[in-house]
Amino acid sequence: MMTPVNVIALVFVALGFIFLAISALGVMIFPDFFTRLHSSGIGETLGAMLVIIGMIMMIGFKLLALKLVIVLALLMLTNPLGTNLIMMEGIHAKDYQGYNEKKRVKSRKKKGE
Amino acid sequence: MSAYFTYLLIGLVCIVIAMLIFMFCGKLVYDKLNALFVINTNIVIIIMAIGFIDGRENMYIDIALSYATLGFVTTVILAKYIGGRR
Repeated sequence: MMTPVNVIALVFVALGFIFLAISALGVMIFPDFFTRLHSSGIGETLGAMLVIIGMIMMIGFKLLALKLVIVLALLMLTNPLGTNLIMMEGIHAKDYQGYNEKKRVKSRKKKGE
Repeated sequence: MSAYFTYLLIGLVCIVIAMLIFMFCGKLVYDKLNALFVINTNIVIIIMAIGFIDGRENMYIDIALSYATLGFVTTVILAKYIGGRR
């Protein structure tokens, strides 16, 4: 009933769940906004990737596995993009390390001229 | 096999409830957006685990695919709207 491939797949799913849980804990208890964003990025890429790889190994070579590969590719494409977008909006709002100061100086000079 | 995915489902639902509590108690609006994005990824995996428990993976994987696309579009539009950039 439990073939060795199934056991390896269950180990992958368990590892992915552990990464997801640690990432959610880090989002709740880390001190700064950017550290919370870092913890969220780890769980969204590595945890989801391990869980879906485990599910692919459990299904085997079928047409359904190709559909799971499409889900994996979509998640790997969109999750870092969304995290990056939230980070850019946060930087834009908080003037992080003078990031927006250069743009303002340039625009003032243009207005002055 | 099905009992294993039931345990996975219970753990993921606990994570989603914790992130909802954090989202309603947080102060910075970008923290709330971040929590919403974590909930999106967890719910995609929850839908696929429900498919494995139910035994009809063909139907639930399509639902998970469309949910992932809609969640990403929602996050992008909300981030652009809250940040004020166009």
